[in-house]
Amino acid sequence: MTPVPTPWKRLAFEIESRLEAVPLLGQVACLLCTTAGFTPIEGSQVEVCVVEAVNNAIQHAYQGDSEHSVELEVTLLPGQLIFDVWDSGTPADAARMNADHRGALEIQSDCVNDIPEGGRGLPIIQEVMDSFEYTPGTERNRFRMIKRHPLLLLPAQELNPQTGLAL
Amino acid sequence: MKLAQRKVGSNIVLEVLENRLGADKAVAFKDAVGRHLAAGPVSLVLDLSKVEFIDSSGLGAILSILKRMPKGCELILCGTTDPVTSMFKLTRLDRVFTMKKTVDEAVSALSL
Repeated sequence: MTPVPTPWKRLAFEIESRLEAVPLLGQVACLLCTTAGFTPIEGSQVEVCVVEAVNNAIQHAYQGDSEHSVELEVTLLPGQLIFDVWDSGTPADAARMNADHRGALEIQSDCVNDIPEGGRGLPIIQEVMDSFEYTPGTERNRFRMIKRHPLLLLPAQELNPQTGLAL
Repeated sequence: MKLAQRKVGSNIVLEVLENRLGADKAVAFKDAVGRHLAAGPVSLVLDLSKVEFIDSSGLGAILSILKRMPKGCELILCGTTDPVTSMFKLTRLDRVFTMKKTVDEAVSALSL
């Protein structure tokens, strides 16, 4: 039986803006993915993306200040999981955030010292997720990531209404 | 940051005893490994078999260690779990590091 959870549509989780708390949100994302039918590796890669987005919020929007909160909202729609990371800190440059980061993961030099140690967060997200979008707001900023999965496209009549699992 | 060290000849095997290498641990990790390198020029095997999660900060920390290796000394990674291996491949860093399946293979590679 293939697990396809449909009874729930939206879940939200909130943490303090401390890096030590970030793994909780990542593990939640991974668990939701594997429950929804993603492979463990896909789940772990989505976990990394959620962690990267939350780290960005803490380190850049809040500049490391732990007195705030970051929210992860997960929405299940037919065929896709949507991960929204919300913060109420200083908005980032939306053009830079939403730029095309493809190619940034390629190793451009044979010299190890030329390979940058940072800057892989957004490229990883672009590589793993089907789409992402940063939307700064007057009160809250949203970083949205969408991961599609064909199993989540199963029509409702093929699902057990009690368990949400495929019949 | 928990690391277990053992010497193999003139080289060091460092086992990372954490199951996550993320942004909250990256600096402590770099500092801890750096202390082992400070004693003198040695090659290093980094055993990652207990690490189940790594993000861009963790990858950057390991890259930083590679850059800090003394001249003539090697850094070999070993024992990467499936999630960690997938991140090295995703970021193409598997082409930058020497990666072996086991500590024994890594130590053998050092002695060649």
